[in-house]
Amino acid sequence: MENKEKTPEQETTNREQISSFLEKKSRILELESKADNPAAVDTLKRKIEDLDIEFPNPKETFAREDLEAILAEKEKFLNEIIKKGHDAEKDTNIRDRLQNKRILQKALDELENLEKIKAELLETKKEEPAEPEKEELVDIPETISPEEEVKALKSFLNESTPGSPLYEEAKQRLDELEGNTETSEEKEIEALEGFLKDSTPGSPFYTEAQKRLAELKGETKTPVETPTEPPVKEPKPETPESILKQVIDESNQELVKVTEEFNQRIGELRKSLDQRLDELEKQAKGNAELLARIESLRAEPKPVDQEINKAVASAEATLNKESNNQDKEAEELDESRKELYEKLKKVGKAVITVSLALGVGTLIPYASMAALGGGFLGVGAGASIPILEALGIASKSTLIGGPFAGALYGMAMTKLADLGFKKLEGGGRVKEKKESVEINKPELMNSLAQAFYNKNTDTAHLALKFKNTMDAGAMQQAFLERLFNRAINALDKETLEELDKLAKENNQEKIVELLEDKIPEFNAMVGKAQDDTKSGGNEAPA
Amino acid sequence: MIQNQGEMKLQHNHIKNKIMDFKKTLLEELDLQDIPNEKKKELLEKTADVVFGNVLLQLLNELNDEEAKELNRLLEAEKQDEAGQFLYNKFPNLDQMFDAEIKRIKEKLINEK
Repeated sequence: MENKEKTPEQETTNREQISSFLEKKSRILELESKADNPAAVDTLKRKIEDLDIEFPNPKETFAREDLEAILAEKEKFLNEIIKKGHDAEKDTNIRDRLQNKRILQKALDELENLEKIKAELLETKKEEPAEPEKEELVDIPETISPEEEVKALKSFLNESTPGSPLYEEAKQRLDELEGNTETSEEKEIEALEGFLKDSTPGSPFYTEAQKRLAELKGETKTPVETPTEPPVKEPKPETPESILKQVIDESNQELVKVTEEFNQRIGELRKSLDQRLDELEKQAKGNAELLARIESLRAEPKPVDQEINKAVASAEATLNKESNNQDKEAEELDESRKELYEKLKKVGKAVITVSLALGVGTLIPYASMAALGGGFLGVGAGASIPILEALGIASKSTLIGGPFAGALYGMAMTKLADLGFKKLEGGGRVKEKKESVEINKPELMNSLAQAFYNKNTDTAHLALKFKNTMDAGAMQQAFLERLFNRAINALDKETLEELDKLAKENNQEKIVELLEDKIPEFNAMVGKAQDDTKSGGNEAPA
Repeated sequence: MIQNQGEMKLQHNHIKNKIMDFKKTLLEELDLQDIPNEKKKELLEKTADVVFGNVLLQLLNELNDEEAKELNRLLEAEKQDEAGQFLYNKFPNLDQMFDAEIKRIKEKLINEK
């Protein structure tokens, strides 16, 4: 290729360009050799930019030898960039590597173009220089869109060694992206809109992104090829469905808010009511009519929200299912066992029915039984004599319909109470405030029984008189339970604490003194307990 | 019947500690602490019924024919204490059987809530 019309000015310009290019190249390579990763990525980027700026324009007229020299230098330079770029890939993170990869790809494209230029220039003369497709090189966005990243990753995977850490990481990222592109259209729309805003209108990438955006938004019209202004993010078009969805969402939010406020207010009112009832209860001590009224107020159903109803229904469904399975299993028992099962189950059910009907406290009889008998709540069967003790105590009462099943059922009830239903103690209702009193009534009753057991000759004598019908110890305990159960339920918090202290000190005289002082009818209560015990406990403890 | 002082004290402490440990009750775990008390009683009754029935089935299934007859005989003769003695001798782990069944029911209620 000859430059027949080359003027001295042109030649000077060309020489300056070549000189500048070679000088720049030398400086870049020097910088690059000193650069450590990941800074090498930036160096490479700068180098490409420099290359774009400094490389002599092939459209200009050059002497053939000059052009060949330039092309040779550029080829060498690009190969060096590619090599360095591959080296830089090893120590940077995936995003840097992708950026690096993009630069490398750019260098490779440049090299390819250069080959074309060389071929064209060498074969078709310089009048028809190849037009380098700089558009693609210039318009690659700095922020990689998901599509670009997928493309780059695929390219990287094709060229990398399967199984290597980088390969696996790139593959994982590709899987993520491909998964996201299928399901996160909104994210893609957002990314595309951001990309369009920052890109040059009219470029191939711009057009492609615009097309994809239209597809995602469901717009069918042909995208404008060269908009005069970058597009701005437009709100999604409103459809009847979207309007309806919005209204429903807003209504739901409002409903949640109102429900929360309602529940909060109800909670406050409940608390206030409970406090008031507690105060009234204290004031109404001894007034049976007023106490009954307070009790009925407490028993009034309280509003429950839908969620609680659902939870109750779910618990009931679970229990019903269990019960049905149980019935089926019982049906498969042989006749003698089935008879035994039905008999015991029937009596067991009667226990709870009677217990609930007593109105004294759902679990008090069983908690007392456990505490006095020993073993149920604490030490356990292996450590003492729980079942026999329970039977001994249970046998005091004919009300519970049968001691054997009663004891078994009592065990289930006591353990469940221990598990969390214990709040029902004390009149079968929740008394949060009372629970804060660190007096465990069964425990206190046990302590009192213990304090009296060995020394109270009256009760021992009483028990012995009935030894033919009942174990003496059981009788004595039945009496003590009845007595102290009544006493404890009639006392206030302060007195219970004092009583607890005296019981721990085993101070029987003071206990009796305190009880007589606080409960004027205490002596009458002792006599009543004795009578009830003699008659087999037909009257519930009160 | 009632144990000596040391044993009783030990048991008291054990009971107290155990009760104190149950800060979160089953009702709380089921988010049912605010339901009406009548409903609580109803659930307690149903739960106890299921526990009782299941343990009873386990006991009866463990008895051989002779033992089942003997237990029936004792109950029909209203020899409750002997029936209890008989049962306790046969199942010294009765307490743990209740514990296991209650644990199972509790987990089921919580899992299916």
